[in-house]
Amino acid sequence: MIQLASVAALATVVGGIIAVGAHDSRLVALGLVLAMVTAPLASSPEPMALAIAFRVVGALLAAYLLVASARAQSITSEGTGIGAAAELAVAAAAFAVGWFVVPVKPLAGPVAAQAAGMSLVALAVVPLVGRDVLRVGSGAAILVLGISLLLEAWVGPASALQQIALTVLLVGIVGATILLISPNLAPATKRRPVAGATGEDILEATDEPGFEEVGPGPGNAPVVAEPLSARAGRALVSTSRPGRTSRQAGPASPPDQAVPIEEDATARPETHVPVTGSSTRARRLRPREPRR
Amino acid sequence: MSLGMFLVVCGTGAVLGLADRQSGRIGRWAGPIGLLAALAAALFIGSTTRVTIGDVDLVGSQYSGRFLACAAGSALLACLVATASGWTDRLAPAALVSFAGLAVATTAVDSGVALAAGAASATAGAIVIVRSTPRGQPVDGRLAEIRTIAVVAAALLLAAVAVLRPAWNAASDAPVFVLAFFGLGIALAIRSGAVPFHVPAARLGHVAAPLAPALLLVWIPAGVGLLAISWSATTFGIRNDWLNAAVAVVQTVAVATLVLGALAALVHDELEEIAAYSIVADSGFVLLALASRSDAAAEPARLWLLVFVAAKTGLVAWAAATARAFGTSHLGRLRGWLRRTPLLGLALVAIAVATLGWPGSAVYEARSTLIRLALPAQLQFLFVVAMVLSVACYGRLLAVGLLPSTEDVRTARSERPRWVAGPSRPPRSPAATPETAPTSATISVAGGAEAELAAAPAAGEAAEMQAVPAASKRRRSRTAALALPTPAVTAAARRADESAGVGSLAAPPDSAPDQVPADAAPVRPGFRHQLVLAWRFNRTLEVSLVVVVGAALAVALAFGGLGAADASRFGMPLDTAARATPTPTPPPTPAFTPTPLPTLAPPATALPSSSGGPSGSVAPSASPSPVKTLAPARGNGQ
Repeated sequence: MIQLASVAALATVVGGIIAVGAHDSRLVALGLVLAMVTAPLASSPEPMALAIAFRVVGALLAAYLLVASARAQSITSEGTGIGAAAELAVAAAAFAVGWFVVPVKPLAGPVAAQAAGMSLVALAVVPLVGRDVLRVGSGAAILVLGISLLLEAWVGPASALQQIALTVLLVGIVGATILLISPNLAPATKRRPVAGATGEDILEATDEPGFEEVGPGPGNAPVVAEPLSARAGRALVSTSRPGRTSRQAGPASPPDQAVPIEEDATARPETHVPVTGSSTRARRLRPREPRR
Repeated sequence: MSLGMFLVVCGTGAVLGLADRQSGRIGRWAGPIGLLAALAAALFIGSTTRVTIGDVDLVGSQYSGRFLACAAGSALLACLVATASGWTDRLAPAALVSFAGLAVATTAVDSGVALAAGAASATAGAIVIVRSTPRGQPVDGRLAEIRTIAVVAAALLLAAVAVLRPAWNAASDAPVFVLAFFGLGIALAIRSGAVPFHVPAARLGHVAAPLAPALLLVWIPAGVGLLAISWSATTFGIRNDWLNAAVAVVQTVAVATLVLGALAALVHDELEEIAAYSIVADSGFVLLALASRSDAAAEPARLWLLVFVAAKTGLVAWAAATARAFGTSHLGRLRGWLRRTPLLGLALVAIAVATLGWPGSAVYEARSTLIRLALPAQLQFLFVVAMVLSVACYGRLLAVGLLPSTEDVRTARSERPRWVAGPSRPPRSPAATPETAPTSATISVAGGAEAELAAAPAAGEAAEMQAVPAASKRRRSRTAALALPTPAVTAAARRADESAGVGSLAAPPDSAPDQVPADAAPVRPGFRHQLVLAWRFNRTLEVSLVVVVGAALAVALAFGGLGAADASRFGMPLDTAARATPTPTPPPTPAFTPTPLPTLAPPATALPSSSGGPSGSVAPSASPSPVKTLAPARGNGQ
């Protein structure tokens, strides 16, 4: 007889594979939702309905935040670092080890939870050593999910408050990832207050920097920072590939570039400059307006 | 009730502060007000505080209340420094998020809840990472932060495996305990920037918001350390070879952190790095508390954590205030800073005293006890080494402040409110347009009261400000309008001056000589007006006083005041819960068992402390005893 815990464990692993292997941020979010929703069901006995509801709400909130942020900022993940087949093989091998090897006896939870936990922990290793913040963040969430499953298997079912705390932790990790992938971060030039400067001077130097990222490279790291004043009267058009957005370049393609167009932006503010390659979407970056 | 209020206040303040961060007005004040309310709520958390969520109780204690109050108070002072300096909108919400997690962690009697909440509180650190690192730099601050969050969360959850102690009957559980001990140690070491992991901590000044080290290196690590030492003497009190090896690794890290961190603080020249390395060095004592695995280490470790939070927050605030006052954080350009900002010098001395103490003081004894319990006799000299290096670090900062002033220091505003008698300003120049009149009035007060009017740099600044068109003034941000005296404030001040028979504060002689009538009589504002205006417009003085208050708080805690000594003696409910859980499986080394034999053990709650308190003190515990814990029920149905 197929038990719910086993099915949930398998679904959790599938969600983890999708989360760490997908390029599209929507798929990453989908994988995270699948893993976060099914993970509590892999324990035995199942948690209370309220705890499950809280986990579901937390998963949806995390996914919404990730999708909304990634769509607004056109951010994608680097995708799998070792190939989809290798990810699948690693997950399957770890699942098998977790299914057949029992390091603690007696096991306080279902063996399926232990297998899924080991599989998720193994899946999270490669993303965590990468340089893509989104991928590291999703790897961190998968890692925490995996260890929480190991806890369920080795220690027993978590209390309702622990389920809530775990949900908050997972949402916090996703939220931290969203904050850290934000391209609105100022470049890391050392900014110091001018002698005798008052609050507004420092605020203008930190919160309203005269620099803005022109184009990021792989790993969502900024490549070029250019003073806004130097870009006055210019429009910047960044290109992207189908199915991808302009923030991130994949490993098999050249990085997206920001192409400065020498033209009068005031005369033709919305001119769509023809882009080369297979790009189907152009995104205009304009200088920020000064904060009032 | 107070604990629930604390959680609600933290959540509300954090949400408001983050949601309205961009637009400003609500977001700017939601954080400090939330911290103030959290401080007030934390002061009421005591041993009778109890909140039940589901099947888990959150039980307050005197120490939990003191720790949260100390953290909230320190954060409030840091946020005041940040607000006065114009560094807004990130630190307070992040602190509130973190404190909410720490409140649950320090009051939960379920170890799994405590560790998960502690891990969740660590995720707030991402809020204060505000700058990206250029590609090609060896350390990317964003990557370092998200990896730190991942490792801390994973390590704390792994530690829960051993802490929850299920009833396994395998031959040896030693690897599990080693893994859990490593988990706690690694979480603590990485989050606090211990020496192998110190590079991201040292570079926080480049990628994080100002004063962010207070959150990332002080408040969160202190909370994690508080969790870690709860099980140091109980869960990890067993002696076996594997665990002894793991303890040796933690001891090595702690010693390296103590010595190399203090050395790094001594040789670096940037104030942020000096503060960061000083914090890193002192966090080595928390690692030592974890490595000691002794009941006797609990009380000094708790006291040290209170002092650590207050004193190191004060140090971060001091560094930020000094850098703000003089426009540079390079020590070579800060020669003579003490002459211009004596209050900051007083604050630094107080911070040094609070951190180090002297023989007989509570903090001194706490530090020495931790080293005595955690290190073998051959390494006891490290206490003196750490003390000497720290004294040298603080002494270097003070000595640099006494040297002849550099240009940066001379041109900066000092703390001293000085007025120079000067001619009164005419009520309004006929030539002044309605558009420019408020601006010139603003300059009059800003250049006159906010700085020393006699100082040539201030005069130059006033002249420079006068040269700025009024249109450019209007482009200043809202914080600018708040930071500088607004026309309304200026007009009110002028009206007050006029009613008191004072024309206005004197302008620098060379700032606008053509506006001064030749027959104007020199007048000085009244003393009361001088005080009011000095406080209102001398930001350097305001910031310095806030830092002094923070340093005074640290000194009071360092000497056991404000209830710190008593609270440290009693501990937390988590300590009692850790003791109420069953004894772990006997280790391979049969010679030692941490508890009496089962036949001799008390029937219900094993291991009643000989003193009644979890730390071995003679005072009765303020925590409800026994505390209901779910841990025994989690292991295989037992």
